[in-house]
Amino acid sequence: MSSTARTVLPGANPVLALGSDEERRIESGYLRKSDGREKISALREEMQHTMEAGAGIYRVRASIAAAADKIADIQERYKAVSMEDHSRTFNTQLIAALELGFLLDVAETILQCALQREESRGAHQRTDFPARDDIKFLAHSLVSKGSNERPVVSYMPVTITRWPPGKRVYGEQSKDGGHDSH
Amino acid sequence: MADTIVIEVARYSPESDAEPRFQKYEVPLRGDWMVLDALNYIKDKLDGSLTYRWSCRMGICGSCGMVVNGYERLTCETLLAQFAPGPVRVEPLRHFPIARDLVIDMTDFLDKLTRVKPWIVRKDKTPPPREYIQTPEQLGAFKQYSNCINCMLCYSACPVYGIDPHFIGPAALALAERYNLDSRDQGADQRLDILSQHDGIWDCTVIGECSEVCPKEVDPSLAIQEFKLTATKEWFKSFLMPWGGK
Amino acid sequence: MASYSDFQPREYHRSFSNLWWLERFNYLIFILREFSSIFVGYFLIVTLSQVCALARGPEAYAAFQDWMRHPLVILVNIIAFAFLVLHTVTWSNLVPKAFFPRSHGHRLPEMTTALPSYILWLVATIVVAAFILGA
Repeated sequence: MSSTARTVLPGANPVLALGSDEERRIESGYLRKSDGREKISALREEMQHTMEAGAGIYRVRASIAAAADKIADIQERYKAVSMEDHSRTFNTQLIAALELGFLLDVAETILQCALQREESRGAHQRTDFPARDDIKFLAHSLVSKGSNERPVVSYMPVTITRWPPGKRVYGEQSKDGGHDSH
Repeated sequence: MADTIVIEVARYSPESDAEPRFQKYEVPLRGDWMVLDALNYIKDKLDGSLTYRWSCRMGICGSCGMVVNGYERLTCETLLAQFAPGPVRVEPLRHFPIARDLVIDMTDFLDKLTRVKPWIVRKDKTPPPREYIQTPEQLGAFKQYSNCINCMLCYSACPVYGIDPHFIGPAALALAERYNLDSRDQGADQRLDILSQHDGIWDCTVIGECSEVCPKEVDPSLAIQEFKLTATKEWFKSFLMPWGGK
Repeated sequence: MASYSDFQPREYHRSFSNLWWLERFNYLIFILREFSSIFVGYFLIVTLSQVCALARGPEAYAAFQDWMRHPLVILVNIIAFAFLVLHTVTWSNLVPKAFFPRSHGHRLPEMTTALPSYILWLVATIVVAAFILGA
């Protein structure tokens, strides 16, 4: 089987270089891997259960922190993911494995942002911080990969133009329009 | 009901196989499982290299079409327990080249779909000032043909397509008729030329198996036969009334 | 094995069997339906011979009847009759699959559209039988 990793000379197109790197990463980390121990579906299901339990609609510091530890553990185990499909033709197991890696990154990001957002807003309901905090958290969470490969969260303030944030109320309470200066 | 059932799946990997082979797996026999659940169980827990297409698992995307025990089915809609005690034989759709395991090459099908001009054709030079008005009766004239989910079960079931891959095929012809019958469309004459070629409607010998296997009751066979009547009428008109504008 | 490359994997092309019509009941019925046209042709020739014999006079007709009584001819006729029944039933049932009147957007039951063919068949049979048996 011929290798498709092409040698990219110095000074060549950086996009090609990135592409080459990615090809090598997939080849060695997945397609050629034969010593894996963890099943993709097992890791995926554990991640799903962990996120449902720790970062469902109602969360609290303890549940989020516990989930973060679990996800970190799953990410470590992910390095030993097992691949049975080494074909280069329509390899859906490869897709599943790559997507699992990304899902774990997203899960980690969700948990970090939830942990640091000490307020409740929309689908993020912190039972330990039940109120909305527009002073500290009327902002988008921005996440980047830190030097230790862990997510780093920063904030970008939201500019309110037409609809100010308000308490979600129903029935009698909503008669005044629902918009308050809460 | 027994606890497990054997699934016999077609396997083919171009790197290692000269031709397809069958592989057996034993899966749980749950009363609420579809054949797709069994395939997912195999891939998740038994053999991650089993490869097949699927997506919505609710009979609307058309991805999971395969041949189960000799008949074209959507595996997400095919109850596993009906085949007890088994084994259940799962093969790729017929009349298409096999790319890998249960995955077929659908390039020819996609070409055929595009060939029939499956869009609203208008003769106006400019767009209309407002939306087209269409009554429920006008919608009813073509609605059935618009239900096609492009699952290709009809191409697998059609022996004409098996014998002659040039045949445009049931789904593409039903799609053409869907636009011909749409009150907003003015392209029937353009499609007539395409469909009246010998690999168009006239290749169909009214076997009817396409409509039998269609999971959405599109009835492509009806579309084809109706169009044969239309095409014949047009043919007579063309020399009896040659002055008729197109 | 054809050459294999990363970007053009070797697809497997299955061959189409000449006995495809034995694989499924519906395919078999289809082939028998098409095949029955031969027997339609046969009966056409027999009926034309019958009419010609009638036209040529009593001896010719008696010779025709003798021919019809030959055991081999009877056997062929029984087989042909079976195919003719199949032919008529399958083609009558095909009418609603090709063309059906929609009533207020609903499809009429298929038997409604197939019925005129059956009725025509019955009427024609009665007329012809009356003619032959009465003559």
